[in-house]
Amino acid sequence: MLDSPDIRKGHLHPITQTIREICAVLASLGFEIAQGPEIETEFYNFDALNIPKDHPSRDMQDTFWLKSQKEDQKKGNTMSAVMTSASTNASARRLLTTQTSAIQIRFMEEKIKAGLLPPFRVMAPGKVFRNEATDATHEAQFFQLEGLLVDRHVSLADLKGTLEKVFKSLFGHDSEIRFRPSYFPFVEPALEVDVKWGAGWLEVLGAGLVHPNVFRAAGIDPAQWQGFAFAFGIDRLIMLKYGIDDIRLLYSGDLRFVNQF
Amino acid sequence: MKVSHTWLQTYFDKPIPAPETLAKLFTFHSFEVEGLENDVLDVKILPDRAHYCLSHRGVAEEISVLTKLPLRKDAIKNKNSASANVPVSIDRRPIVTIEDSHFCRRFTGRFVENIDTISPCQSTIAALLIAIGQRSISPIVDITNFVMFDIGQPTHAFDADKIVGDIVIRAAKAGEKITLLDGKEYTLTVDDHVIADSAGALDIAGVKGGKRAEVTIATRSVLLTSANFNPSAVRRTSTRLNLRNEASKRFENEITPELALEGMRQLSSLLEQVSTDAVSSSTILRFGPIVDEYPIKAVQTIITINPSYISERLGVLVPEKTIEDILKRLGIDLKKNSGQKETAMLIKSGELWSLTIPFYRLDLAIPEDIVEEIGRIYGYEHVIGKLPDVSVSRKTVPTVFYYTEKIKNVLTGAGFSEVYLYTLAPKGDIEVAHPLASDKAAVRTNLATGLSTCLEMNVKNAEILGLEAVKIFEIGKVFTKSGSSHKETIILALAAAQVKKIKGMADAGKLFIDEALKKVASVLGFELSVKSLLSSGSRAVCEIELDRKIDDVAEFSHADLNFLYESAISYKPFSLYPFIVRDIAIFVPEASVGVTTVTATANATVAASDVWAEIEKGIIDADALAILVRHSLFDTFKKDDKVSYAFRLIFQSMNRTLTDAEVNVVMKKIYARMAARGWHVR
Repeated sequence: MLDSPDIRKGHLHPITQTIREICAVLASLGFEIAQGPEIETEFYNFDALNIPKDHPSRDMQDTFWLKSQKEDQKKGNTMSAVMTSASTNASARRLLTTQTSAIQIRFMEEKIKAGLLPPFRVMAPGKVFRNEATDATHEAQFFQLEGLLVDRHVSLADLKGTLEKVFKSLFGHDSEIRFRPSYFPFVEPALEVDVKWGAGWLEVLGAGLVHPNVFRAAGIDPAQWQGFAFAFGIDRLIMLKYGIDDIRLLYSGDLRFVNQF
Repeated sequence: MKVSHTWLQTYFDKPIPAPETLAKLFTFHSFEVEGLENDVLDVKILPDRAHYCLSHRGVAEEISVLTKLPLRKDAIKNKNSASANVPVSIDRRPIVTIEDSHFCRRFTGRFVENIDTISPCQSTIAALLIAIGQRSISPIVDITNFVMFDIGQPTHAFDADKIVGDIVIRAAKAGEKITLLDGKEYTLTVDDHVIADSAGALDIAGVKGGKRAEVTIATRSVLLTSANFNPSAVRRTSTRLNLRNEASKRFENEITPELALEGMRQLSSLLEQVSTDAVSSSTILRFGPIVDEYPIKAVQTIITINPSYISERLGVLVPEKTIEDILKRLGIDLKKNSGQKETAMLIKSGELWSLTIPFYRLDLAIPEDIVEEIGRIYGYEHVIGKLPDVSVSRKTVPTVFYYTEKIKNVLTGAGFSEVYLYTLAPKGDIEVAHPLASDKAAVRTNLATGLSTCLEMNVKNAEILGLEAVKIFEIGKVFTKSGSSHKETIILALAAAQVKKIKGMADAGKLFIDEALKKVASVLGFELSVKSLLSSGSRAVCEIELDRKIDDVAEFSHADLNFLYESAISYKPFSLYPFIVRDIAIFVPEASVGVTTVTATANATVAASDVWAEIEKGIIDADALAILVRHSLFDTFKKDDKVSYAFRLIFQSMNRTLTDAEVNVVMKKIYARMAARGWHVR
């Protein structure tokens, strides 16, 4: 039990490790990596993802809206002046990105601009934000890993096969997943994916087939192309895999936590 | 939304499955069930199903579709239902004007007299409302609420004698004021809409009723209304006034205007039932005719789809007969081969089906929606996973991603551990518009501040970590103002501190960082320029702007991608309670080593382990092995024929704060063991 005075190696945070693990599996299926900004515009985060203005689906995520520079200058002015400036330039309003799905649009747009048509396979890890009270299972920031595949013919079977491969690598070869119906405006059909965990099942990601409106927003013809998309909640996977009961430990900077990985 | 099993059963002649069975069915085929208490299910209705499932009728329809049990009542499928019309006995009718048919899509109204004769006892309806967590207020209000939770159509009753002149549904005037049922006064804008009479606003349309024409115990006649309003407009008003409620929720999720008349009819027939329940068994209420303003009639959606497309997208072959059967249960009218030539272009070949969607299924608009309906009802468990063909392989990795990951590997090799800290901060250049907490009012402008705090915390825990130096880093984004916009920059921050003082290493922190950055430079092949470095004694923190440097160099081989990462980690929870450190030094005669081995070359470690074994016995005597979290031999020296071994013991509990007193007890037990061996504690 005596400590040896060896030269200590540092530790990679489990978020980095888990993102790499998933990327490794997806890279073997031909997925390339993309990244997006953490400050996003309303257009990429909502409008282009088929989440219309003044629509209840915007309530599904509590958003950190950012003050515009105009608002800063108008500090002290009336509320209505602020409202007007915000609504005239609505799609440019800034926010802390609530979902890595925004990267889907940026990625496809860029490819199309560069004259590159699908097929596309892309994975996009990123930090996202939700403006909600924090507790052991909720954080204002967390990590997602988005996956998007675009091809001529894409089905739920392709989605399931891809996800099964990832989970078998993360949780072992007897790992099983299942689909449940859900709603995310940017996919149709929309699914929750559960992974078998002990005697029960745990919800680990949202997924579905890319909604035609998302393709349109990115300048891709939905009559020609189909796709699937999914978003892992990295933090949740880590908590599950290592039996961590408080998400806040991930952002505590505490080496009593990090040095175990 | 809470739904009552008893209430749902009223839609069926045959008994429906038990609540637990329903919960399972819903989970796999409809929506999540968030709670189940007695016979009340709390179902999570997301915006797509909110058009029809924020009601018992909608949920009953799901049950019918999933169990194949027929609905007893007609569920307005593709036509107006025939809720029994109440006999009209008075001629009094409201005159209604809709100023903006984009906002008010339909408005139905009728007068009812003799309302004060209704007995306040309304046990069945009140009981159902209470079961789903609503309050019982008065027979009329309860009935209007019942209709909303039953079929999803909000309705409202006004005291008819307090209405002045005709009814108009119009935009509010700038600065127009209205006192609502909650007794509070609200100031409206031209973006809001009201139901008004010639004396002014009576009600904020789609949101909440006004105080002026509130139904009270003295009300003798009422104006019943059931209308349909523009979802976005209702949402804007209810959000701005912070008046989200059950009615506004249904309007903002959008319901079909077809439902408005249904609501009016149900409202009327329930009122009639209440009044005929009286002893006389004849209707005392007098109903006026229904006025129905419906400027632009709703149109049923028609979706053209090739049935093979459904199986293609699901990735499982669903028999055509099964698809037909599911569509029928959904109330969708199917006409085969009736698709138009233009839409046929969308579909590769074969048969075209034309599907007429029920009015209330506003969520069904495109073929993919039908794919989902068939998929969820048939069951996603039928989908068998297959790997997509590897037709593409553009193994692109963004340069910055490549280098940040590479730097992480070098730094961990140099003894630095990675942390992720918070992006949100109390202060910064870019501020959050409506912060929930003061520590989340802005986004960070640097990493150094957070990392310094983090360093101090870990230095305090160095003993329990068994570290002589703390070395940490974070790679993350910072945000600064840039003209009228902002700049997002990727920063690498390092922090290091020597915990145990070492002579000649006063600036140990800086030395650690320099050393690590040298390693990074040699692996990357270029130097990173330090943006800021703060060094104070044995501590140092530095920041480096990564993207600027990397954008300049940017060349790497894709063959070099090394993301494959094997890990076999088991995580153990650590204690959040303070720890207690005790040092103990023991002088033992070197001869004591010879008890068993008798050689003069007996090495110190054997004796040390001997001493440790004895200390451990003392700890076991005190039953304290569970709270000993770490120990180490930190000093050894010889003096004459004696050797001194100094051990550091760290005690900590997983579930409470240890006291000095209880650790003293442990130490006493150890001393006793030492004394028994004749060893001297220094």
